[in-house]
Amino acid sequence: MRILIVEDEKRVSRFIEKGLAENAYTSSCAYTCAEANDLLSEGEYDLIILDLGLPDGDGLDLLLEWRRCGFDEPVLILSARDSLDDRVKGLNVGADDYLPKPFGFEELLARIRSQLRRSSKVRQSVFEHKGIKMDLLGHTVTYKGENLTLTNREFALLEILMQNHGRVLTRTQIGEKIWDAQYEMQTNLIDVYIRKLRNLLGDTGDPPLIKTVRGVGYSML
Amino acid sequence: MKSISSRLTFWYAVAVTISAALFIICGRFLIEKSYIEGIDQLNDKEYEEIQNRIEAPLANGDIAAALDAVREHAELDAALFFFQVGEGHDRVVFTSANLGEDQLPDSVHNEKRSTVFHPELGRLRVGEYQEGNFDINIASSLSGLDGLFANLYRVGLGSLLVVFMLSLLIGHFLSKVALRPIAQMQKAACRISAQTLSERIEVLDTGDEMSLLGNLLNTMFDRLERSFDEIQKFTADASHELKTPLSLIRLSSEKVRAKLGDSDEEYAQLLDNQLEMIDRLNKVVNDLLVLAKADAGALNLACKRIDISELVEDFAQDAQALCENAGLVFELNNNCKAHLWGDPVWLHHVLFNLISNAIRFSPTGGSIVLSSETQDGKWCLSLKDDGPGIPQHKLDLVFRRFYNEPDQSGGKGSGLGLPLCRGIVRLHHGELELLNRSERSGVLARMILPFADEE
Repeated sequence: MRILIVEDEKRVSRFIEKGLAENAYTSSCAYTCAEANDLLSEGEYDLIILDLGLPDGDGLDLLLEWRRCGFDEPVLILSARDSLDDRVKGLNVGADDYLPKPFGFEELLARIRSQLRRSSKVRQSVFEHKGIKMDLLGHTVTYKGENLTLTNREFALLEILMQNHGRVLTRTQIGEKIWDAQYEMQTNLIDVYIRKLRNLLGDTGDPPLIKTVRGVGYSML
Repeated sequence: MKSISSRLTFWYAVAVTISAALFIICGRFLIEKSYIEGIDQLNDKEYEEIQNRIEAPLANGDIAAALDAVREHAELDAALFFFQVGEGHDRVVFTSANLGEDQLPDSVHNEKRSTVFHPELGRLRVGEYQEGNFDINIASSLSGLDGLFANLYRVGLGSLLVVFMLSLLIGHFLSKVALRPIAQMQKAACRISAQTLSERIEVLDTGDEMSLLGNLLNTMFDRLERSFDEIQKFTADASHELKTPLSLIRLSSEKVRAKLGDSDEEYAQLLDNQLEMIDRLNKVVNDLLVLAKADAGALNLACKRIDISELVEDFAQDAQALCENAGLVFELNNNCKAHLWGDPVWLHHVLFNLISNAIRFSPTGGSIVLSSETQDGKWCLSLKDDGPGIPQHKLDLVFRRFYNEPDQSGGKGSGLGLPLCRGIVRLHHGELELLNRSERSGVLARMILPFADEE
């Protein structure tokens, strides 16, 4: 897996590069649009992390150019501008995800992983994990042979946890998926629903079904 | 008459009609004057003829013969003239047969020319002539003139009506033409919004008032656009300058925290606090930047038509969960079935802010009531808590930036939540206020937003 980091702040990109190396990803750094284009023409990359404010141009224009040329690998935008329209603009131009600064490394890693696995994911309407059986069309959940009654929110939360089992989902990711919350969630709403879900599942075991990842989010084992 | 166009049309028509009326009235007087002059000349001619007849008898002192001559002449011209002869001014010695029993009114005496009214013959133009001892009055009827006037009035009134109608039509057309540049400007100015500030009003450089006005408006849009751009650029720059170092601090702290694991609890605690503060700082930076944009009206709202009842229902399930979690009772009165025009993301932001405030200040076991209803043709959403309320003198302070009211546990917010919420609500042309509940202690947060236009 090779990742291209396009970010003009050298200390940030070095940090990401090192962190990615620790997680077995190879990466290269570009500090300007021109360098990014050079690196892209020289080698193949599986994912690009793109900062928007570059010294010789705007990351959005760069992305637009790539998409026009038919470059279709996932692009994750990293930006200090996290206003809604920048985000919408970024996704419209063809970015696959948008991560506002300041970000936590775990959050970045979680998003990189979900991007890299996205292509292989097949969406099924009925699936089962750890004895929990979900039917998306019938909107039913059975656990240990018993039917569970879930509210819409609980159902949606369980669904994304199940579909991403084994992977950490950050609070921001969950917020985006369920509440369409593009501005940060200002309450502990996600924690509240996780607690309700755990109660419903009788999840008191050790290790628990839904694991809390400190300072990051949740993961279903 | 609200529009300038209709007022212009009306006044134009009135002015034209009044001018036409004045014209007709002037014409009437001119006609009368020249008609009467003509009559006077005829009377004079008639007198000359009589004079020829009576000169000789009078010279001989034969008054009877002179009167006979007058009578004879009067009979000849009875169709056109009326005659009366007096000795001096008081004794009338002859009236022509066509005057009937009556004499001419006394007012004709001593007047060289006069117009009098005769009860049977109508208006008469009378000339008085002196011949020896005789006062000879020769009168002509003005009935021809009066008939002419009657026609003039009838036709005049009719044509004034037509003139008024026509000038309404023409005035309407003219005012439309004259105001067309204004209408165009209005359309263009309406089209220009925060998203399309680079558009300008098309101005034909004719140097007239319209082009001056257009240029003035365009200069104003220039200034507006510049300040919009500046605030956008400022927030982008400030964002970048503040958040890049924040990213680095956060990344480093996380790394140290991860390395530390559970080996040193004291340092771990310090790092956790630091991470928490970074999050808070980030939130403050975000709120400030959004506030700056909202203040300048440069916050782009992605507005759409929202079903109010659905919005409330959707929010209520989360509010319910949050209240349950905090050991509070949640009650919903969803009574407003209408639509509003707004940005759902930002409205949700406001709602979550209000509920988290309400929860923060509620005592355990308290209840929170969310009511959505129609009030005076607007949507009124109110959220009541059972908390201690806000001292009356602080009610306005809570919307001040960085003002913080500590809750029971001493917790504090960023001090930007409510100002930001109010900013967002005002961008939606609504109002947000906090009041103390009248029936018991507690705060009533009330948001009033206009409905969307019917589809």
